[in-house]
Amino acid sequence: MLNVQNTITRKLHWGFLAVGLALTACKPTDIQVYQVPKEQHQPAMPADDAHAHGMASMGAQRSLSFQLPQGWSEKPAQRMRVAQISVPGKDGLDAEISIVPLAGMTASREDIMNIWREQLRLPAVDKSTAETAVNRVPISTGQGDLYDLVSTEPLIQEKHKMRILAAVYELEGVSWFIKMSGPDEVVSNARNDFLSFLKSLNWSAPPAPSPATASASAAAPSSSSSALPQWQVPPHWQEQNPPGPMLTAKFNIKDDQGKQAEVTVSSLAGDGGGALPNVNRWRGQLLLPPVTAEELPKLGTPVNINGRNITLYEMEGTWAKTGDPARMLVLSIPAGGQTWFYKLTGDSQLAAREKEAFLTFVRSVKYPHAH
Amino acid sequence: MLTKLLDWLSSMRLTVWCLCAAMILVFVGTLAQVEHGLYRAQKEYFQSFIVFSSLTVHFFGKKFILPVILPGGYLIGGILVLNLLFSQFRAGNIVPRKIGLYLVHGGLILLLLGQLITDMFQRETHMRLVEGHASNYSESAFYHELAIIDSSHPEHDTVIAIPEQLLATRSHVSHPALPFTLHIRKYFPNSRLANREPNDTSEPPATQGFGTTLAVREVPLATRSDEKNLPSAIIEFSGEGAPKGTWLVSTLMNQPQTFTHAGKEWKLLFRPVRVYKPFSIELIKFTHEKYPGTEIPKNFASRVRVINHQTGENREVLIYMNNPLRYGGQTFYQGSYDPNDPRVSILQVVRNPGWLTPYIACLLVGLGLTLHFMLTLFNFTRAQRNGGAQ
Repeated sequence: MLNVQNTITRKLHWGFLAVGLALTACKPTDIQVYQVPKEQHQPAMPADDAHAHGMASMGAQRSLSFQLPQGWSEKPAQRMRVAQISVPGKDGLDAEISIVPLAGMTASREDIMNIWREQLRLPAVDKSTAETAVNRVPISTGQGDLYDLVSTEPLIQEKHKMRILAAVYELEGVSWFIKMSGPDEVVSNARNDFLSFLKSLNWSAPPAPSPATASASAAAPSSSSSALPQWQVPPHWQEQNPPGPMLTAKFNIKDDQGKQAEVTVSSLAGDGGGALPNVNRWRGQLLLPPVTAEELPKLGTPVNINGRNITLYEMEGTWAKTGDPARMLVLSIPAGGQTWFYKLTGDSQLAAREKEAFLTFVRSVKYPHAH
Repeated sequence: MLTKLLDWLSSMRLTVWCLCAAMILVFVGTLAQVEHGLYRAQKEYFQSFIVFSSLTVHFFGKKFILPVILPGGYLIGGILVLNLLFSQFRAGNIVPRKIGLYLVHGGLILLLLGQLITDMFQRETHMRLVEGHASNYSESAFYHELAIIDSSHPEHDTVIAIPEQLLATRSHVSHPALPFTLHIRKYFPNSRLANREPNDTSEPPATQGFGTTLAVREVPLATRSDEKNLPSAIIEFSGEGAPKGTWLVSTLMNQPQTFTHAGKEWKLLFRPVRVYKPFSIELIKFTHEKYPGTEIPKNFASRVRVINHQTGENREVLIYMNNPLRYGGQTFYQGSYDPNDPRVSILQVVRNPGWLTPYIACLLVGLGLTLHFMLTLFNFTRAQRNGGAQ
């Protein structure tokens, strides 16, 4: 009988050893090689290109020429930029100049300065400080604002302070941002060349009325504060005042777990640049690849907004602003010769929960010129 | 010595210790779910032999990190199985009148072993289906793989799937099917991506592909059951003609990056582990009913078509709550839906070789209890009768 027990015990012992080995073997640690039928992927699209789509409608065609000081070199323009220039410095340090046009900019000097101050990790300043810090300099045939800001911390390679020397020039409803940024030493040394460069800028011809610039002109906000719509805001939405550049209103939403979302309201003249470039711009904000005109109808679902069938675009991706998984819901509503954009962006789950409140908010809007 | 060991193994005292240890394990393991999340707590506490972990406790406003060393679920379960076996089948202990108890204990042993088989071999994945489209693979909710795909053949792709585990633990990976060696420069178990600021003068995470325009940051591991880790890695290739530079691969990007090697086009995609099947399932119609005026789901149903070219099978099936499709050794449950797209149904795909064991175990226990009760009653009434006769 003892032998039998011994055998049982030994077998169980081996059994448990086998179980242990099997457990180890169960972990997915082996490289698998297999063949599958071809799968259709969307072509990969770098994030830059994703942003270039649609955003191009915010700018204008390249009708700009300039003279580069010695040693400066022009690079391929990326994102919203119409030009990108490299300014060499010592010890392999470079500064960079970007030229970005924005149609219908309504941001104040205080807004602009505080955006750049935030990039330099500097505290925000009030309106009077911003006004006095801005200098007027010759740009092209006219004059524009010059901003000169430097960080207090070494932000570049943890050794060099960062400086932003930027000019803003208004031309026929378009704000041109010419911004040099880089290590403090390089930007300071290139200051005189930059001022000469500003004078050399030449907008020889106004943007041609091509479809692209038609979108650009359409992208100009046309609402005035006296013609603002009326709406009913859900009580848990916190209105942000001021809402920010180019926005009519902005509401922040937070839940108990610290998840965040925001609702923005903006308006553009005409059709607002068309659905495709706008959808692709929004997709770019969620790091999603752009879609074609054929794919566009599949992305939207019709919702009833006060008797009108309006297309709701819902997207799920990564919020470029936070890097977290996020959802975006956008409604474009034509009213009174303008297109009003209502956009809910934020944490996926929170945005899903806020969908009904968002739709109720949009349904509550009364437009001043709608009859 | 052996007799003492067998006495200990078959003692009721060991049973009580095991049950007490199981209670403590369940209590501490439940607390650990708050800190580590359901999945990790399950792995560390219940699917292990020994628990080596830690628990953060807040006491009077101060934070204490307590080390946790406990017998794991497998050890307690294993000892309980031995205890049940030895307590019943020791020499001189086997008597016909206890057959009911033997069946009960046999059922309990089967239940424990069945759970072990389920833990070891159950594979749970999800299949996302869009109306009008078919799919022949499901995806894991937890595990990821770096798929390096040779797409040069006109009819099929050759996939070399490298598990995330290897990216996490190795500095390089090579394989006969790969004409180059993969070097893992950095691995982020959970990460987020963001666009690089125009003025960001720091080095981009990678010199090739979409890593040149993005910034990647590591975030703490997901602990909530409704969150999941989204790993990223920075990799490099070496070998003759290998693509130059570093590449950012991330489960946050669902589009592949491409490169060319020796005239062949390759794709690179960090994605959930895929389980391919020898058949396809096509979603014909997805019904998603909600209670009127609310977002509360009332009923989901997926009418699907099972297409198996090997057997020539082509039939329609309706999958709805509590009515799954069992096919090819797998069970397809109506799992979820996509709140963004009403045409999308998500099926939960479960492969569990031990799915029958709980049913058999319950039958055995029920039968054993009935037999034991009947035998005891019979013996009791016989004793009563005999007593009355005297």
